[in-house]
Amino acid sequence: MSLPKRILKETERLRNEKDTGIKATIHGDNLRYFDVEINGPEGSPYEGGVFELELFLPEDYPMSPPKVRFLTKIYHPNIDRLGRICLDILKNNWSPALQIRTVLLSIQALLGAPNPDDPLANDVAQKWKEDENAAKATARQWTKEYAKKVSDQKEEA
Amino acid sequence: MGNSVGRERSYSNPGNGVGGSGGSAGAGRPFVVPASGSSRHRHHHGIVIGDGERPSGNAFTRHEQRYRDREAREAAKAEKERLAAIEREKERERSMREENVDGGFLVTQGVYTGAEDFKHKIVRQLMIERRLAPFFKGLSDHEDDWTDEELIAAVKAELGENDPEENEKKGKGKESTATSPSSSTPNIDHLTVPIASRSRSHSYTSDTSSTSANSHRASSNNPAARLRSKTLSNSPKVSSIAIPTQQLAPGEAVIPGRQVDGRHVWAVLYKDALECPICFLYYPPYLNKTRCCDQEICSECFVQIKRADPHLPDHHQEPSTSSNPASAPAAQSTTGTTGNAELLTSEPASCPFCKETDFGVTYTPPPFRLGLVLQSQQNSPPATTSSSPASPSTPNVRRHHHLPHNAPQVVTTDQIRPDWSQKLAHARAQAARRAAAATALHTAAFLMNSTASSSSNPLTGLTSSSRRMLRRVDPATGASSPSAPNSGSGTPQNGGRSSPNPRPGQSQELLSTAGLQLLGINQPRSSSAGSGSNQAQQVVRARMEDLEEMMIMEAIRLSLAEEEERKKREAKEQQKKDGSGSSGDGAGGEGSAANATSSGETVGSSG
Amino acid sequence: MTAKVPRNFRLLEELEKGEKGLGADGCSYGLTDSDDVMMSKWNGTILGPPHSVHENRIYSLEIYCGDNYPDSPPQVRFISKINLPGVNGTDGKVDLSKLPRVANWNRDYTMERILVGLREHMAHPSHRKLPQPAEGQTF
Repeated sequence: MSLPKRILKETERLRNEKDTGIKATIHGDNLRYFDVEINGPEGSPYEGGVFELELFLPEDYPMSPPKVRFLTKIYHPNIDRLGRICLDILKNNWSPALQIRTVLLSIQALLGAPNPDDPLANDVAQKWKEDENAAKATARQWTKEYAKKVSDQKEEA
Repeated sequence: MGNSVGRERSYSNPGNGVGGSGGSAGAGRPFVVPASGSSRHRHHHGIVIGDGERPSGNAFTRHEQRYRDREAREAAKAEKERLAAIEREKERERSMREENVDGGFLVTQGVYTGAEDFKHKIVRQLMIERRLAPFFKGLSDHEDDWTDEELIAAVKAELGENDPEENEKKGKGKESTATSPSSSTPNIDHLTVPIASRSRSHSYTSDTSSTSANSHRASSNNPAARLRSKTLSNSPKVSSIAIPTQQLAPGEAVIPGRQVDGRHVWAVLYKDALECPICFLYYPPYLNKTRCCDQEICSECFVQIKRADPHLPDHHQEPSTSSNPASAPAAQSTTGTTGNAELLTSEPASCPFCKETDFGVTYTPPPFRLGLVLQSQQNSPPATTSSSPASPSTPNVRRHHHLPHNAPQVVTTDQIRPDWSQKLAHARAQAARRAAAATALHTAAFLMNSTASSSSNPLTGLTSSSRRMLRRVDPATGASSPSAPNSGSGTPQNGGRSSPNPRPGQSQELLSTAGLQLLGINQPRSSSAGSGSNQAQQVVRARMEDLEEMMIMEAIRLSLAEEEERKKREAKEQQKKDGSGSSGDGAGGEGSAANATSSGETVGSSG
Repeated sequence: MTAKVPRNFRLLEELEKGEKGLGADGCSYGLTDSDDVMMSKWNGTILGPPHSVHENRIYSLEIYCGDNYPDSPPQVRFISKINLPGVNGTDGKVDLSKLPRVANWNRDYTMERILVGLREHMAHPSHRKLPQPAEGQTF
């Protein structure tokens, strides 16, 4: 069985994706494996940073959710040290009507609205609750240190 | 786990936004992927004990036996699955050749590659009754301005060698009968096909709905059935006389031909094709509609959506232990082991578009009828001469209210998997059995514990954690078991790397702590074994050994018990099948057969 | 053609399985450094099989999953000293081709399979009585 038409079509549509600050390109020769870039949303501590992720569409996608992980170090209560993401639509709340694009936009939205009450990284969540400003400052610091800069990304293009 | 941040903003596709939050979506759970690998490569260290060093007792042999048993089971399972897959493929080919409903098919078209666990017989029946859209062939591309010829060519291209028309021509060519092979001539002989298809669908159901020993029966049955169906379709002249007395069709008949109002049915069907929002393929505009939000969904996608596997309720997960590691084992102990079995649950699938629970669809068929019909419907005007609606309802009228899931015209995902409740009951029973075994083990461990002179930390630690350990092995909790306290890593806490040259005595400490960890126990850091007396450590060591032995024995006992039970069920099943072979509804029987299979699988994976 | 799970997601699967403590076969494994986004270095532990000289001993190993894992097998090395055919006597490196269970490497094989295979190897009738170095020594 060749690659499902849906994956081909999604890939095609992602190629034309513009102005949303998300980018997904096929990694090597595995048509189910994507290199992803997400721009930190404006007004968040991640603004100005470009975060690298990897995404894989398992065999039974879209009946099962894509697997996604941050490769860029990020300070966020719902993302752990290995870049794993706690987001309902990637788990129990997945629906086959969602797509790669919607998943990436949801992750971007998660950056703009952290949820320390449902943490994956406990230490970060703790900090977020105790002293949100300090936590955000750390997040900004990490963004500066580890994420690519939006300006660099534009130069590349 | 839920983090519903930014939902409204993100869901802009396809068509309807996916607003609001719902229960956990059944569709979101990963489906079972056939076990791979391990069975393929079977090397054993034989238990050839020729050196006279036969181990005292049979413990060593038992240990080895465990691997062997598991591998043997996996190999047997893989073989059964392979045979079942071959049968399924044959049946698919036959059905593609011989059966259609309004230009669609009665078998899936390969959009999804995983194992099919819906009841084929039920789905087939629903499609013949026009309550569920047939499996139309999906087109990768479609343009509104395509001509009839282009549309037909597109469908043919997608079908490839499965094109029934081509196969018909080929088949006819080989035959020496004088029948004209024109596809446009209504083939009256096909009127007798339902008999064959009925006999086929019987064996089909029995082998595809379960991979248990039924497949053996089915595969030995099938050649005969296939022969019969071949004879039937290839030598039509005889068939119409010879066969009908053999089996009475359950009210099925065939409206022959491929023409609607002088146009090819595919041209008519695909003219205004729609894209299914889930598989992105183009289908005739006669698709199922969700009962809740009136969204299109093709049957290929619909049959994939199902309940979540039995699991513990979401809020019932173990608390994150990292904040207070010491209290965690105690908390778990009080949760009790038997209670969890009853808590196992499985919610109905929810709508992929609007998240409404009890997902169901309705279907409005095209205004013409072709292929298999129920005899009661046969009196409606033949499609080849008229396109007047055979169905009272008019297609493409948008509903403005949503239908309840128990409305008669709604087909739910539970309807095509009627065994879900049995599966749940089975999972509960199994969890309860395992919990009981765990309790027994725990009691044994506790008794040994009380014989020890010391009551130092490691001992109590072991007792309370042993229960936790056993709970972890439990498939019910295992499924939803959260990660270990140090959730970021699986690094052994006391993995023996702390010091390259352990002090004398440290290895003992290492043993007890690392041993606990090996057994899946996250021993609280505070209860280091260091303070225990040497004697106590000896006891720990002895007990760990005993515990492991007991676990192995218990695992074997459980697997034997379940195997026994599986056999009993199979025997019962066999009896039932033999006794009432032609009863109309085989769903109940199939369900328990499937159960038997799943019990075998569970043993295989976690035993 | 089935979906080919990329290295990193495959390692995440193995990590999760290890974290859940489902490795009930007397073996456990986990990341050496929980910050290591590339997930290359792992620790393995084998509980010596019963009724052998290894009984009650805990063996530590290090596992290195290179860029080509799981297409290529990982490098496996005993940290705890052991006398076992297929294990280099000076540096503890494991020759996986000597382990029946994983000799013909296949990308479906896992670190768990290697550890279980090693434990079986230790319990093999012709290995289980081999004289062992004193407990607690390392390579």
